[in-house]
Formats: sequence, structure tokens, C-alpha cells
Amino acid sequence: MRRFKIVSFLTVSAFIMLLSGSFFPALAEQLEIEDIMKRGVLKVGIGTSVPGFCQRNPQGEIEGVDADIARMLAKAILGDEKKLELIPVTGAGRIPAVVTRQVDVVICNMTITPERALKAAFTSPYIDSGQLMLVRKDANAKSLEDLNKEGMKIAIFNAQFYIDIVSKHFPKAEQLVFESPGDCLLAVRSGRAHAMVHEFGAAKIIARDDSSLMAFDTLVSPPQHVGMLVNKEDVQWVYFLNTFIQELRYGILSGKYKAMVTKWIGAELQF
Amino acid sequence: MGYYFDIDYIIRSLPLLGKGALMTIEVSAATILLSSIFALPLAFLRVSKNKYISGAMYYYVQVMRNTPTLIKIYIAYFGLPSLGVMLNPVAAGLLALVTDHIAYVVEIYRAGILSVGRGQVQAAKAIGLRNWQVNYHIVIPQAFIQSLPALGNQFVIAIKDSSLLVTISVMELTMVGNRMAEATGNSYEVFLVTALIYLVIITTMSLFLKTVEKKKRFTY
Repeated sequence: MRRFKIVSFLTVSAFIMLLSGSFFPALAEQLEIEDIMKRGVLKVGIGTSVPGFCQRNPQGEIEGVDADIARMLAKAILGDEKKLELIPVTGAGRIPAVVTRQVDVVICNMTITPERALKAAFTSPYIDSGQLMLVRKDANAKSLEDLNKEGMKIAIFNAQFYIDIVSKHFPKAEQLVFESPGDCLLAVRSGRAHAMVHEFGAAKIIARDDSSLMAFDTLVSPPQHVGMLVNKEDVQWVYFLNTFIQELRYGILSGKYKAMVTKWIGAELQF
Repeated sequence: MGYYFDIDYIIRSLPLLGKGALMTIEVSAATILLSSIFALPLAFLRVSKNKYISGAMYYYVQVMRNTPTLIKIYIAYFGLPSLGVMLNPVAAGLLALVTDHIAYVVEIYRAGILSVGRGQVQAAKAIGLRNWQVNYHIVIPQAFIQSLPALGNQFVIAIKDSSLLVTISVMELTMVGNRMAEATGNSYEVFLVTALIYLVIITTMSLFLKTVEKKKRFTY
């Protein structure tokens, strides 16, 4: 018993030491674009199961709006789309990925919120978005009110933003929380859930291609801006990315941008 | 300018973490109890002289050990509905975890049963005890004590495996941790605290098992 006490005390102490966190030096040097050019490859953190934005195709490659923008970015900086390393990140891992500089930038359908901006810096939005409900046709729901009933199961991605939406609009429904938007879609397709909160453009494409699903037109979220995420220190990098995004949406790259958006999510939401 | 460790956030989130921890404890306890209880008769089937019965059990153990637990969880949750069986997330998760863990516990019990000296069994039968009496009075008590260290190991694995259930929407500790980390980016504190809570749960269980082991050794 005495040995156990000693061991546990040591373990707890070790944790307390780690808690101070002051052993970890800050990664304070700014990223400069020359660093990326010297390295020869652009490291982008990206998701792997957000339909329309970053999903895996049958060959295992990541494709979608985010992937295409990453490729265009690599082309703009390094002249070659292939000089790109797409590093999968999870929802919870997006901010740590830039804070610890595992990646240069995260392009992962990330909604810009002031709270997140305290930890890492957002670029200007590269796309506007909103959430609507993707519903199974056999769920007997014709409108949003029908979803707010006992016994309705709604699949939600494990992020406070979406959980708040569902708690506010459908307090009586049962919440099924999944670890990725892809899992939510699987739950709806397999009949586990009656509906899910989904990005509006990709939802319409899914409803068009899958006759057992339909998308309700009413937005359930406030307007969302989707931006790239970078380390707070990287001022020069943010300037460049903002310039790139501006020209992507409204300038010389806008033709390619519109074609890409139409291909993956149908249309951009206009606010 | 080091990393700013946000203790306040952790303290404010303790209720949510508590709910997650409760679910983890419930799922783990159910897995441990169900697999330990149901594995006992199956273990006797496994050591049966009938080679078809023991062969069938051996086949079951091999299949369960050689397939990933996560796949079994997906089959139970996403796959069974297409066969018409719709279980709620916790039930599906428990089905997968228990069938998985039973295989390991059967092997642990088997080792314990085989460790009881043949001489004792023969002597007991020689004085007229029937098979079930031999098992009940002589084999099981000793086999159980022999199995305790390995069982303890398996219980720890069961508690850690419960975190796999986040993939099928069970709101347990890991899922709460993920949500907190995603919402704030405080991933260091959140995951450290989550790991600490698991540590506390598992250590408590190990301590309990240790006292059981001590007590049992005295009675025989």
C-alpha cells in the first residue's frame, strides 16, 4: 500500500509539473513565404470527411472545395499543384495543427468565430456558407417544425456550434453526436438518424443524387464565413493569403473559383 | 511567452466532463460484468473433452481476437440495421465490446482452469463428488484466483476500449473531450484532463481488484 501511495503521488506530481506548461518554448518565429519556397512543398491541414469540401474519393485522394483551393494555393506559391502535402486533421486538431506548426495553413471548412480567433488567426473568408437540414424522405417531416418532435433523431457533428443549433431549433429531438460529418451522413443514410445539419450547397447535391434524402431550404444557422487558419504570428503569410483569396473570389482567379464551387457544392450562398 | 494553461475553463467544464465520465464508467462496468459472467460457462465449453464443442469455441475466440474491435462496433451499429436489427448506440456498442472481450476472458479462464492440478480433480471424483460439485467447490475458486492478474489487465483494456464508442454517437468522456478541444482550441489542457480522469477510473478499478485478490487468497 505504501509503495502504491508513493507511485501514485509521483504520477500526480508529474502531471502537475506538466500542467504548468512553461517548459514548452513558444514557437514564435514568423513563417515567411520564402520558408515555404525553400522547403519546396506546401503543408496544408485538411479534413477527410466533410462532404463537398474535403472527402476521400474511391482512389483515396482527398477532393473537394478545400482540396482544390489548396492545390491552387500550391500552384500560386510554388508553381506546381503537386508540391502540396495534404495532412489530415480532425475537428479538434485544427487549431493545434497551426499553433504547433505541423502545417502552414489549415483549410478545413472552418467557420470563422471570434472565440477561435483568440487562439489562431483567420484569413478573410474564402466561401460563405450556412447550414440546412438534410432529411430522410421516410422520416415524415415536411418542415422544420416536424423535426422538433419526440422520437426524431438528428445526427450532429461533434462541435459546439452545431450542437447549439440543434438544441435551439429542435429541443425535443434526440441528438446523436458523431465525430465527423461523414459519419453523420452515414447515420442518416443507414436510417440511424432522421436528419442531420449539413452545409447548404453540398446538401443540395447530396439530395439531388440520393433519392431517399431531401434538403429543407430554410437555413438553420446564422451566416457563416469559412476561412483558412494560420498561426497568429504569421502576419506576412496572412497578408499573402488574403490577397490570394481576394483574387480567387473576385479577381483574376474567379472563373476557376466559380467553376470549382459549382462542381462541388452547386452554388455559393449569397448573403 | 509560454503556453497559457487555462485552469478556469477546465473547472467550468467539470459538469460536462462528469457526465461523460459517468457514461464511460457505465459502459465499462457493463462490459466487464457481462463478459466476466458469461465467459465462465463458455470457458468450460472451451476445455470440454468433446473436440467439436471445444473446437467451436476455439474458432469463436480466434475470430474475435483477430478482428479489430472498432470494426465490430461499426458492424453492430451501422451494419445490423440492414439486416433488420436496430439497436440503440449503447446497446450496439455493448454487443460489440462484450462479444469481443468474452473471447479474451474465455482464454484467461481457460488458463486458470487448466492450472488446477489434475490430481485434485481426480481425488475429488474418487471420493464421489459429481462433476458440477468438483467444478463448483474445487476448480472454480482456484481458477478464479489464478485468473485475477490477467483479468485485471483485461478490465483495463475494457475501460480503454469504451472510448471507441464515440464513433457511434455514445456521449462518453472522449467525445466530451473532443468537443471541448474543438470549441476552444485548448487541446493540451482538455486532453490532459481527460487522460487524468481515465487514469483515476482505471486506478480505482485496479485498487479494487487488488483488495479482492488479497481477500480471496486468505480464504483458501
